[in-house]
Amino acid sequence: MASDTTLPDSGVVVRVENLTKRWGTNTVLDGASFTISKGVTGLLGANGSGKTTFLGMVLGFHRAEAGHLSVLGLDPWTAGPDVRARIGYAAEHEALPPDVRAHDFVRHVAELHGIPKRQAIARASDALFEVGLGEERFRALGTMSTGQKQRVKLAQAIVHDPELVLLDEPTNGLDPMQRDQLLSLVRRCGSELGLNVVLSSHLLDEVERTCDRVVIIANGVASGGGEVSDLEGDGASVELTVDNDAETAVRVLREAGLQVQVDPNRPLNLTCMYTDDSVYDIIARTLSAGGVGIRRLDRERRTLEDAFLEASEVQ
Amino acid sequence: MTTVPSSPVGSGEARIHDRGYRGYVGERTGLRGAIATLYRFTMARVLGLRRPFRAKALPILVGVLAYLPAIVLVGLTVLLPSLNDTALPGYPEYYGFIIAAIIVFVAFVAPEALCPDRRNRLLGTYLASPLDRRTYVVAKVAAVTTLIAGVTLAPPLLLALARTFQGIGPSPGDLGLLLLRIVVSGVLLAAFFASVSLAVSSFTDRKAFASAGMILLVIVTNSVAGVLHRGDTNRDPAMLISVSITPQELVYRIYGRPGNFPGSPTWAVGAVGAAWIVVSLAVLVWRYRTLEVTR
Repeated sequence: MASDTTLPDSGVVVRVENLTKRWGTNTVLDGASFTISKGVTGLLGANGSGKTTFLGMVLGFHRAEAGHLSVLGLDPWTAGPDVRARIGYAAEHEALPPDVRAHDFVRHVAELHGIPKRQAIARASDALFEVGLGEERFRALGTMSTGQKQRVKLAQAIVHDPELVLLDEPTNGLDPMQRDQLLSLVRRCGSELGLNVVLSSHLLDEVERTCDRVVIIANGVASGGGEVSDLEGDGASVELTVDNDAETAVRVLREAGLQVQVDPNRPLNLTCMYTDDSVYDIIARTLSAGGVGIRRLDRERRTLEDAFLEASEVQ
Repeated sequence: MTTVPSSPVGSGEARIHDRGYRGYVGERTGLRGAIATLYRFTMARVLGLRRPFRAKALPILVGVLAYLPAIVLVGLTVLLPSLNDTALPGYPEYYGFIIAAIIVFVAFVAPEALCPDRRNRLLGTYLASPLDRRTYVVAKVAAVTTLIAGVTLAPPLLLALARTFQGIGPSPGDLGLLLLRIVVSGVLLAAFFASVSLAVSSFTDRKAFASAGMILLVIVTNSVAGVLHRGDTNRDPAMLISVSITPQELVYRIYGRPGNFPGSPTWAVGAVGAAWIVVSLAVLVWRYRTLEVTR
């Protein structure tokens, strides 16, 4: 697996400080600052938010107008070949020669990244076995299904044991089952193979299921992010659904000193501020005394979508 | 009663193959290895190796066109030792035989080196390796030059063999100079046609368009040269506009011969040949410097 000893301080793989990138008059990244650590990190943003541009900058394809970018401790613009030798990349689009066999192609990419020929032959087979294409490895790429092609792209991205793997929208064009399988493979790359992965996606559930951490890019800046487990979880309120007579419920709860809000679209759904666990007892007793039945009483669940929407609104 | 297997247990024939992904701690070949890999892969691709037969058909045709005259001449000199000296072409004249093969190669086979990478969006994959745009172009130019050299270098050597069989081969004192002329001619022709064909191919990701572009370039430059020359030997330098005549003239001058258009001074032939190569490479580098990979 990728050697940790080559990583710079504190396991930070990518460090971004006030990064700005413009295409003509269009500012794609506008002073973005964040870090990407070891493990599987999701790069989350709407289409056109600058994710692919950022990956291009990590690979040294584009120069920043301002700010600083450090990848594996190096500046990718000035040390491009050295950085890219340590990175695996699967592009968003197909990027496969249709008349070449999967094994030949993966072997070729391994050799491009410095693996000598004999080892490249063996590693190409190993990587294709790893992604579940062991039996299909001598088939021409043009005869493969979309799901198989995405697996080949993953295999060519990991074949040379990179320290960082960049996957740009790896589930494009896949059906739900193929998507599940590919995301499991990506997860496995991080958890079992010990690779550091950046998964660029605009699909929240994809990042939620696969990544340890997330960076949310909106309007050119990193407007949110952190550990996925921190961004998800319990929210700041308690949700309840009453049987009937929501007006009475709201009145008695307010009389009991609780802050209550009514969902205008679903009038039987109420929200109270969570203070501590005693709030559940207060709600249950108060509504029981007021003659109002409770169908559901639960802590609000905060999802990655909430974090994403908040981050987008902040901008 | 159970049957005892005839081969003893632990005979040494059994092997355990450990399959599965693992880390790599061995040597890495770096940028030089990446260039060498792309160079080899491009040559194999252009020749259609490890691809269906239809991908091999044109390279085989080019090989036949280039080598057949030389092989026939060697055969004739072996079978007919009394063959007249004039029956064998001179070295520079031989390129007239194979120029068709070179143009077929340049027009129909060489675009395979560049166009599919862009058509299949592989450029991003290459540039995500230690290669950059400059080293990518270097590997491609080297690969196509080597392949064209395969049809510009070896056939004249076969011709030298044929002439030796006939007893009109180079004297030991002249052998070094002849080999030098064969190598310089072959390499210059290969560099000339490789750079021109790759420059043309850099404008499109479709092989058919690149082939049409190359043929058009040959026809147009020949026509313009012919119109300007009008059969007047005083206007011989005008013929250097032609992308197919300049390299042939260059070969004549390397062999110390006046060529088909002797009114063109040798320095002008050399300068125009060099200009074609330099301008073509400049166009190629410019195209690849400005190509968008990701955005």
